[in-house]
Amino acid sequence: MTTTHLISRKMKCLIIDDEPLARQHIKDMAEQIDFIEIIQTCSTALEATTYVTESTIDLIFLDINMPYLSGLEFLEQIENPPLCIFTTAYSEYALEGFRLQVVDYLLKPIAFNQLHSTDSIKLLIKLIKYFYLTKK
Amino acid sequence: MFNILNHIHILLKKDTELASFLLLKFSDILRYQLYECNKNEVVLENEIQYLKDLIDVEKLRWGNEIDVSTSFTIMNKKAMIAPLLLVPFIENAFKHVSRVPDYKGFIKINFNENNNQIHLSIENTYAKIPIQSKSVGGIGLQNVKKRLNLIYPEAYQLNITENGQLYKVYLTINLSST
Repeated sequence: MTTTHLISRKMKCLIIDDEPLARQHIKDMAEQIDFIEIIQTCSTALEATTYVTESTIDLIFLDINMPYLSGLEFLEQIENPPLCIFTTAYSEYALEGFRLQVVDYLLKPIAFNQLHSTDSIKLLIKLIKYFYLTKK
Repeated sequence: MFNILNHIHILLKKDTELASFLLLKFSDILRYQLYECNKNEVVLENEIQYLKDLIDVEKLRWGNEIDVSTSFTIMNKKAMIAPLLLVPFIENAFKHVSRVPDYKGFIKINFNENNNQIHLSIENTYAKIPIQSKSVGGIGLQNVKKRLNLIYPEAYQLNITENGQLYKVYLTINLSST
């Protein structure tokens, strides 16, 4: 799907997941969206903290259950956090998700190979909307 | 559980043979958990096979990010044990083992049974958490201790030590005491 004309520049994204294969999978999926640019993938939220504070990140794909620092703890401690999408195998964090104003909740196993499914189109539209709301 | 399914789901596109291997392992694990261990006691050998399957799956998930070494010896093939008693220790090791990109962690698991005495020792590296975490002392471990006290009172010894880098669990149970 070509959406670049809708948006002035690519969204800079960070992927945080402790599981190597899961990280790669989210990267593969996200790279199919032409206005998304993966800046970095991190295996711990600690490692990600430096990226979030030092560079401009527009969107984070965030796993929740990780050693050292959970995705929730990580998101809570950032001032002015970027847009965030939870990517987790657990469905019980929806309430926390609302509280932390996440943009979407992708439940593992994540099917995102059909980019033209209604769900992913909805997500893309939502992302663009939020992006304009927050970055103008 | 859904993390494992996610892993299989991704592997289906990349490495179907490995995906199918993992799926079969996962079926064995589920079958055991659902249908075979809802008794007071199970055959020790089956319980150990279940642990081995679980370790295989975890090893695949983390690939070369951690070193895992295991050894299991059972002398009495007919020994019986309360089900799912040992698994929390294994799960904890994989959950907390240090796996920072530039520092490879390890897990060492040794198990042996002799004359109905079992010894389980687990060592794993872990990194101290620099930022304060809310979770203190997992509920899993507390439940195991309760079960041990109920099922094998006076017949078990559990020592857990940590020195900032290494987490060690040492458990012995006299199975014939029930």
